[in-house]
Amino acid sequence: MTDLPTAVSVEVPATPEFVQVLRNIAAGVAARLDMPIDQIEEVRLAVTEAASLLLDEVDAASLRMTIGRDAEALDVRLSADGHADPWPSDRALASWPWLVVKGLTDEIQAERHDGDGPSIRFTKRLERADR
Amino acid sequence: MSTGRPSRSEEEIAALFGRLPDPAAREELAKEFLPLAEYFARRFSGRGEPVDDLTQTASLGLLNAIDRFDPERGVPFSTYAAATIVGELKRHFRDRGWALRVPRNVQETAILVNRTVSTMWQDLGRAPTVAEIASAADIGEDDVLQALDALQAYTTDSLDAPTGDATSTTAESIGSEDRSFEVSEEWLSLAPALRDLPERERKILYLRFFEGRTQTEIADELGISQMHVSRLVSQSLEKLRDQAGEV
Repeated sequence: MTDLPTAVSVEVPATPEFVQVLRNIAAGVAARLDMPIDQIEEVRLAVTEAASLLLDEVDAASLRMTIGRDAEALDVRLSADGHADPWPSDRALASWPWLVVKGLTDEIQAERHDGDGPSIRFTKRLERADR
Repeated sequence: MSTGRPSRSEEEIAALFGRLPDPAAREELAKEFLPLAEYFARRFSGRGEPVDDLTQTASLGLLNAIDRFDPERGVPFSTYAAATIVGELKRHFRDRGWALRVPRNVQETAILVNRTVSTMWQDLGRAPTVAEIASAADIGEDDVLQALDALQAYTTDSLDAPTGDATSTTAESIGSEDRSFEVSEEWLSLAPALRDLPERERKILYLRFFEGRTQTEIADELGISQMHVSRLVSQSLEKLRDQAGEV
């Protein structure tokens, strides 16, 4: 996956209410990219599903979302500050939330960086419709 | 929150695919993955489309996936099915131009939100929360936030806009003694119906929503009661809403 310049980095409590905050932020960044609303909805949905999956799989206190962007794409990385061993589990990779994110985005990856919790990262490219 | 996944092993599913086009095997597969289709339908719901329609669309995607799946490709069926179902749901929304996701334009939603806020403020004796507004207006919390955000944006725009004589801005006019609200052509353009309102109602709406003054402040300025202001606000928003509905 390509690293895009970071536009937003935010950390919220690992609870469903704050997943809503995350997805609104992601939608806001997508809007700045001039994404058509159907794709913004897809970003919103992908963030919701990825975050829900992390909440399910990881006993975390907080979720961090970092969004990188350039003119053509969003690169969203969600990580949970807890433990999940192994990560990603087969269970996570076969789960429906994972399949939803995979179906809605152009690239998806489950990662773990040193000193960081389990994370899910996806790229959503701007599809320019003929307008 | 439970994380769904198929109940059968990959091997059992592969065996079922091996039996195709046996209708019984096809049905077993459909039954096995129907919860996946239903899950997708639920995730895409909340955009004004009945969940039943979405479930039907997702199920259609699932059946297509079963018929087209090639086990030789080495992709798990669930992954392939997910992509097909998402594709079908996206097409479903695209065919409707996403009109249903955005039932009203921003101004209309903003007017609806303002009207709701004004009624609720009166009923509750305090400012309502976003969740309360969403539930009362029967729209999503996101829509409420968007409407509030849009109103804010319009306010900012109109404040920064030149007033026509090029030397003062709307913001300056507002600060001036004879605050003239007629200068804001751009806010009138938000809803042409505003022009048809009696001057006093127009002024009240302007003060309330574009200057963000409280009902009490407006009441003081116009020398009428806060209740009267509240009634006039509701009444004029109702008129605007009717007008918007006719278009």
